[in-house]
Amino acid sequence: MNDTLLWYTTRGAGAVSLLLLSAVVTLGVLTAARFEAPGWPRFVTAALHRNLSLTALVFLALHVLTAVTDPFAHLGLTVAIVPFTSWYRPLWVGLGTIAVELVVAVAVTSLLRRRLGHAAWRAVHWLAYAAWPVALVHGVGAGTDGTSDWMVAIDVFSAGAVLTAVAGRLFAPRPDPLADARDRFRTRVQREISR
Amino acid sequence: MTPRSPDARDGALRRLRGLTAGVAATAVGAVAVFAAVAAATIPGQPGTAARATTSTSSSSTVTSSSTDTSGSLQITSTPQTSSSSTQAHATTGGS
Amino acid sequence: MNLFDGPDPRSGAESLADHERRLGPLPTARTDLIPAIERSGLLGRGGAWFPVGTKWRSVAARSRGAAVVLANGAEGEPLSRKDQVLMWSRPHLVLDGARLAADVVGADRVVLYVGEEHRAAAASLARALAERPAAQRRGFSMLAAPARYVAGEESAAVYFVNQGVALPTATPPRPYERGVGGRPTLVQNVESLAQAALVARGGRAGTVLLTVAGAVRRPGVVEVPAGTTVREAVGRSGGASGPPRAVLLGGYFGVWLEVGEAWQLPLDPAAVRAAGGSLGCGVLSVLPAAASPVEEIARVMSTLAGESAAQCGPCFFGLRALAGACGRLAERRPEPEDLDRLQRWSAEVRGRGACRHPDGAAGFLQSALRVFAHEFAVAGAGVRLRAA
Repeated sequence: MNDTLLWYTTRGAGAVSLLLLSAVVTLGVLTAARFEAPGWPRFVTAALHRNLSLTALVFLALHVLTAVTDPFAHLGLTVAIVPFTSWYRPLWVGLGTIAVELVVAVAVTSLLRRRLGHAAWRAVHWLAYAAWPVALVHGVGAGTDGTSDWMVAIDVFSAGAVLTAVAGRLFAPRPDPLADARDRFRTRVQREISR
Repeated sequence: MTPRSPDARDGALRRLRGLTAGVAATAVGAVAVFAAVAAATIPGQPGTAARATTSTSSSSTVTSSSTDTSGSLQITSTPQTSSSSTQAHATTGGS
Repeated sequence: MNLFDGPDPRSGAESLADHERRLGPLPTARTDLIPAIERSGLLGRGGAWFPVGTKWRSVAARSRGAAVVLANGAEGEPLSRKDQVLMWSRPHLVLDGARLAADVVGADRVVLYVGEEHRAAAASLARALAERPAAQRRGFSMLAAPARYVAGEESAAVYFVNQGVALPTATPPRPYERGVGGRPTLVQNVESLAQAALVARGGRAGTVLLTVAGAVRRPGVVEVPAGTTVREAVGRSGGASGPPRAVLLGGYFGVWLEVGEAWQLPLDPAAVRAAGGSLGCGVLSVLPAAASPVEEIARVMSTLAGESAAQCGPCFFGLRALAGACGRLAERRPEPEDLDRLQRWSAEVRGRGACRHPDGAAGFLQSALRVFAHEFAVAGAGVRLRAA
């Protein structure tokens, strides 16, 4: 029973990590969209995004540690650092390695944002949009349960949340009440300058 | 809207802390739940071979993996070959 | 000198030190190893029973020092356990054989191709590999074979290493000409490699690993001298657990035999072939009189159809149609033509596939139709009686 405990934990923690990561990305999009509601001020969105990202890191670490120490998968720590070196499904596991490194980069730069400056932080933060789909695909291809019904349901649900938030951000009317006024002013200034 | 009062702000902060703690606790439970679901769907006991997909029909005794007898695998080695190596049909070549 | 000599194989693998204490150190690969293997008559244990010495010779002749050895431990046949058990309990023998093969044919790379579901076996092999000195480990890597039926087929294994997908092909060039990375590749079953390691130490490779399954008291893997009869092998597995009806030899690509014709049959490839069957990967499965043959056959056909690589029509559509007809017969709701279709279609798919998957399935089905003719007739007659 002990032998398989690590293996089952990896799979469970992987599913939870994906759910948390999806929640974090969704909240990130909502933060950028300056989402707020009665009883839910803007800073709550941002703070929850931050808190959950730290939580997600913990479960991601659990997923990676149990995977590389599982004696039956005998992946070894190198697999978690150098992509595509796994004996087991190298391509898909390698995507997981890449996703972890992207997430770590985003997290570290966020923690050091004050030192790095806003521009550098922002540039790296965009990598989150790459990390999430890579993690999702990693789960489908590398996961023992990749195509199991329950995992597919989790994938669909997570993707639904993220894609809805992104679509809303792209296509919804701007929440900024002064947006039109700003646009008109900008246009007038451009006309003045080019005259 | 930005909270108009310290009370509203405190309420929002409480909600934030509650959500964070709630999600963290749920996540811990979820790992256990999903691990159990994973174990139930694809157990793959390492001592035996992974189970072949068993059909829903009754006693498929021949063509399912009937060798996983309660987790341990029988392995029998040949007795000392001195007496039993009659080699009546030796493995001569001939593919 | 047998594969399972030494400590009880059920307790797992020996350390390298114990292995060498028992069998001596790894022999240096001498140029007379290939003739020694040819003299021993060692035949490949992956299912084809092709002479191992001949295979090594073909690769060595083309090698120029850059050949590849692929140790095939994929074991995609669901009924077979021998390779997993061997890799798990005697990994050092497998590694010895792989190292010797690499040195003798001039390979600078060894791929240990282990079925991804055979986790314990893979872990044992990896642990054993880590114990070996660097010189013996040089060029070794492990790769998980997908858990598909065709993944262990020679050309599929090579295709997987090259392209990441296990698709078999019957078209040239064959792996010993151009395989992994375009280089001459020796694809050899892990049991064959372990037997070769015994031959290199002066052994005779006179035993065979069988997986005895079905209605026997102690199903599992047994090592028997070549030529042991089916009856003796079943006896070594505790005897039949009920009156036997038929015996399946060779797994899902094997052949059914009546108990009467099977019981005294010696288990060596030539004798089994003479009886119209094939020893294949050494699976021996006993069907009890109490079981329903038509349902068992339908299940296997459904599995085989699902395991098609879907790269050619005759296999993908042909096997599905056959599985469908079998399924309907098993559920006692056949279409009037179904029984005839089984005979016709199984003859038609033979030789028409991009690989031999449909041939194996057709052979399995045709032997079943012969041995269980009565049961199939009853299943097929149900409709006619109602229509009358």
